[in-house]
Amino acid sequence: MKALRAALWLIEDVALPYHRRHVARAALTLLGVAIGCAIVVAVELLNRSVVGSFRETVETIAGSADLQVTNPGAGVPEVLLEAIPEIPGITSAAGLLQATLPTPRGELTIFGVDVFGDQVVRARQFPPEAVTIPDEFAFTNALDSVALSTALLERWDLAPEAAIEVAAPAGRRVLRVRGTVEPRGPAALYDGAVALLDLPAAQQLLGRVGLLDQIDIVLAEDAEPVVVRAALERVVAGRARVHAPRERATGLDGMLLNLRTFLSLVSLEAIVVGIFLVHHALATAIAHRRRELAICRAVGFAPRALALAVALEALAFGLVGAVVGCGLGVGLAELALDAVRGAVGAIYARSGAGSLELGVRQVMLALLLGVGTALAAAVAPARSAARVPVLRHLRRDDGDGREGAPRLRAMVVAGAALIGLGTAGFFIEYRSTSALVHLFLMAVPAALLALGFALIVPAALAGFVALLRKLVGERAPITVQLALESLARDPVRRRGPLTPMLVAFALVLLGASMVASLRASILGWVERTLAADLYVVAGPSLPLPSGETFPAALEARVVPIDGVAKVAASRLVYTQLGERTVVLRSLRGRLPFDGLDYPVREALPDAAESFARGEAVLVSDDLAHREGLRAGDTIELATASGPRRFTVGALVVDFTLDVGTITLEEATYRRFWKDDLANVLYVWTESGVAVPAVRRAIEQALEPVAKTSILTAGQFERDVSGALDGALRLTWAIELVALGIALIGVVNFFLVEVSDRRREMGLLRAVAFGPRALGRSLLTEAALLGLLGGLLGVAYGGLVSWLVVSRSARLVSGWSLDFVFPLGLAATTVVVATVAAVLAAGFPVRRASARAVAELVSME
Amino acid sequence: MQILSPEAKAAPLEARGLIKSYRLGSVETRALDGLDLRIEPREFVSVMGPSGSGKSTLLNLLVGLDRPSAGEVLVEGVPLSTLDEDGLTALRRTRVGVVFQAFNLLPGLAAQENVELPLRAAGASRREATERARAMLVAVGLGERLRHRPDELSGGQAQRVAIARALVIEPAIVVADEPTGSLDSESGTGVLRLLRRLNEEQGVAILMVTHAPAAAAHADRIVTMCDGRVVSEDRPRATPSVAMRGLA
Repeated sequence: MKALRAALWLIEDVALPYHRRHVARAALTLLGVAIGCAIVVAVELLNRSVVGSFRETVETIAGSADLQVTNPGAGVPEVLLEAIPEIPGITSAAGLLQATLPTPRGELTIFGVDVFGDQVVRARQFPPEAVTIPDEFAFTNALDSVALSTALLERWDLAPEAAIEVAAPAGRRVLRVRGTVEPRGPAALYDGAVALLDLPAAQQLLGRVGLLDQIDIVLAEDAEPVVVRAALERVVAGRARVHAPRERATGLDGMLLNLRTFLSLVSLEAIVVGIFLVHHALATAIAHRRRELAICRAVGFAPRALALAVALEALAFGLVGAVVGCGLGVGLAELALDAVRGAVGAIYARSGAGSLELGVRQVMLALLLGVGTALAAAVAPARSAARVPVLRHLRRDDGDGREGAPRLRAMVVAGAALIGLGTAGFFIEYRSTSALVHLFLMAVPAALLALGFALIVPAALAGFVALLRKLVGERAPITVQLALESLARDPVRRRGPLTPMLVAFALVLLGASMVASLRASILGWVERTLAADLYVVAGPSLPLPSGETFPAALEARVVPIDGVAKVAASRLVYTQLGERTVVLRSLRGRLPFDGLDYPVREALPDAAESFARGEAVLVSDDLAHREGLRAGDTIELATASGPRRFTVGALVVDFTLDVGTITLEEATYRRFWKDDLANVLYVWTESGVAVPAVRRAIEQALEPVAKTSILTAGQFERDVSGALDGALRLTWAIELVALGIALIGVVNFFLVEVSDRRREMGLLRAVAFGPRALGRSLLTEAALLGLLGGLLGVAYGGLVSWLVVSRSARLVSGWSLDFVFPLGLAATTVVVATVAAVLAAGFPVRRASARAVAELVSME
Repeated sequence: MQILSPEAKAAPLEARGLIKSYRLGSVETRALDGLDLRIEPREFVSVMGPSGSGKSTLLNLLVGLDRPSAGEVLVEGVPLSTLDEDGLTALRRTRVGVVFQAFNLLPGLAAQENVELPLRAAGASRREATERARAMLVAVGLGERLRHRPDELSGGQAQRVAIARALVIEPAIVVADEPTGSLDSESGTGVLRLLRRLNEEQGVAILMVTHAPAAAAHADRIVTMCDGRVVSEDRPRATPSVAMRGLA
């Protein structure tokens, strides 16, 4: 209690006046904590919002359904609708088909339901009182009838019977407005851009005759859900999945694992950045206040009171930073929400507008992080405050006070041990679907490595100086010799700016290396496997399982075009492998082995033949790694014709999506999944023909029947590259912040360093050195420190990057990435570190060099 | 933490066979080499010696800022080797006052707040600390300078504040390290007079390290050190008042 009282007094009378004198530095510290907390809060809010709005969307569309039968992407056979209502305990079952189609005025989400049929399920989805259809007969008889939400009708300024052109999978179609729906329930989703179609019309429009996206089921009040579910599963017989509406959001949670891990990694980087900022600020403050602390110790303040005061100071920074971070986090999430929801919607699943509400959980998380970050950063400064050498700072000379010689050898041994331990940590084999576990198992070994490098920094500095001395000998100018002498004098103390520099530069290199490795691996794969000359896709963007489609029959229109050698349609859908949602892709014949050249990791001897016969499938290496699958294993997939078992013919490298991909022969897919749509046509041209001419001919042939885009291999690669760059932009932003922190650290160090050595500088000035020579010597010292910091950053960054890319990426995503180290950036890092250190030292050095000798000698 | 329990007849400060060694690479250097020193109650002792004689090391050990390699320091009969870090801190807070050559006042605090420092460290209430600090500043002749910050005080006044800070805890002994080293002769004389007066009026023992023979002559006894040992002890012939005339 006494120590607490003394610590509070120290804060009030010593720390606060100090921060009032250094407002900019205090603000920067607060900003550091706030940014760290803000990114974590924003990621948490975005994640909750996306998953929450997806869950809300699923439940809104499900209406009063107790159970659902779904088969993502591939579809549920409509025939099940006849058998399901017969199951005891089921009151009602209704099918639904959903798709989002482009129109000239924007996107329109189509709901295909039995408008005038079953009303038990529909009463909660599209209640009769909310649907106005003046002529029911005309509506059901004409397949182009649509009931538009009143909100959209008003927004688009449409009259009854107005025409809306949509780009449907079956080609361009014109729909007629023959009814309205009030924006309630599903009709209020997607900003009201919703249209209701009768189910058969929707099936026709979407090219999915005989298929449904889901069957919504309402149970009788006295029904036993477990019993009904079991009976339902027997009837469905593996042709789809049976689940409660809420369980679908859990599936999305699993699909977003890599995204969440990536965003969490970004948060972690932000936290590390925050720790550095707080650490710098406190360490600098303690260094500036050493004399005051020494006085306090001399007159009887206990070391723990001093340490407690520093900890409380950090706590205050943490708390205020966390509160500011909460506000910033909401702002950041607001800014990023549309982009993240758009990306998740495009790749995984669309959802309605989510809300960003700051809850107790986020506030607690921010406080915990802010306080934790600040306290972690305060450990070393608090220790240093408690151990401040009293007489050294209170006497005019250093007298007999000597500090023990640094135990460089012990530090090197401990550092090497930690580096070994950290490296070994990356080789721990585990399987987890928790982003937190992945983060923990990446962060702990990385932290051990950082600690190990920090411990060997003084020895590296001593070795570096010894090497330079050997190289330049006595030929070097006196200013350089003086700089080397100064660096050699106390390598433990000089590590001040080196540790944060090496960690910050390593973060930059880690991010760059991850991006470079990911880009090289994916683009290399794209270049190797997408060997066709042209790609016909349904939408303006890359083909994705949740993306736009066209009838596979379009292939027949392309085949006869002059110059076309070969055409192959391919379908991408989501399907279930056990509890995991994965991508299912169809490819014709021996295409993966002959035409597209998929890199094979492991294969059965007759893999190509088995695949072409439709007996074997190809499983992506990442999925096989996560599921523990090997070539020769058997997997079961839910098809529209019931469950089907396939042999795993080969494990191949496939970067289509991070959820993993199963590739199946085209005809087999069409047969079992009863699906006639395609996402892409691969087109090979005859040798010697002009590809642009063939492209124009294909455009002309398809223009009247479908909305398609035709990409060349180069355009396809550029699109992939652009999509990757967009996804990785956030990493670069964080890296820039990390770099800024490193530079702030260097400036802080030299401010304190120069201030501490004024007396030494005065003595040097007094004996021989002019201000310029002295300045040159100090700047040389700074340059050498920067150079070494950069080199150590490259060494640490190189090791961590290699471990993260080759080990962690495999464990988190299952992907085997080719390690690419950005050598250019590494060289730039070393140069930037050196120049930054010189620039950082420039101001304090110039200021101190300009002082009068007598002033410098008398200053303490 | 051990509680200090002063013995009525024990010396305020005693050093027995103090040895302090430092290792610099493979060379071992002895800063103190079996030093013995005893300060009696109410005694005023000066320690002199050339640079490197071990004065600073001795000072470190006497106020518990460093530990000896061998030997013992006793404050009012309590061996410092039996005290942990908290015990040593409590010692400086309650029984040993320290005065430095460079005053070492906190620049952001007024004179009164600087004197309150050790009391606040001991957990005294603001009111008690204020009252005692004011009384002590009046006693050293700075009753008019309570709210002045160090940069608004002359060197002599700043050192008086430092002395007040050392005495406000009512210590058994004040250890002063070159207290007049930064002052002009007039101010130095004033500070020495003050120390002498406080020694006589309040009965506090004083150990003063100094280079100046004239300042040392103020003491009851002058101890001279060389190479980490006490090489001579003298009692000045001149009375303090005579010495002060010499200084002036």
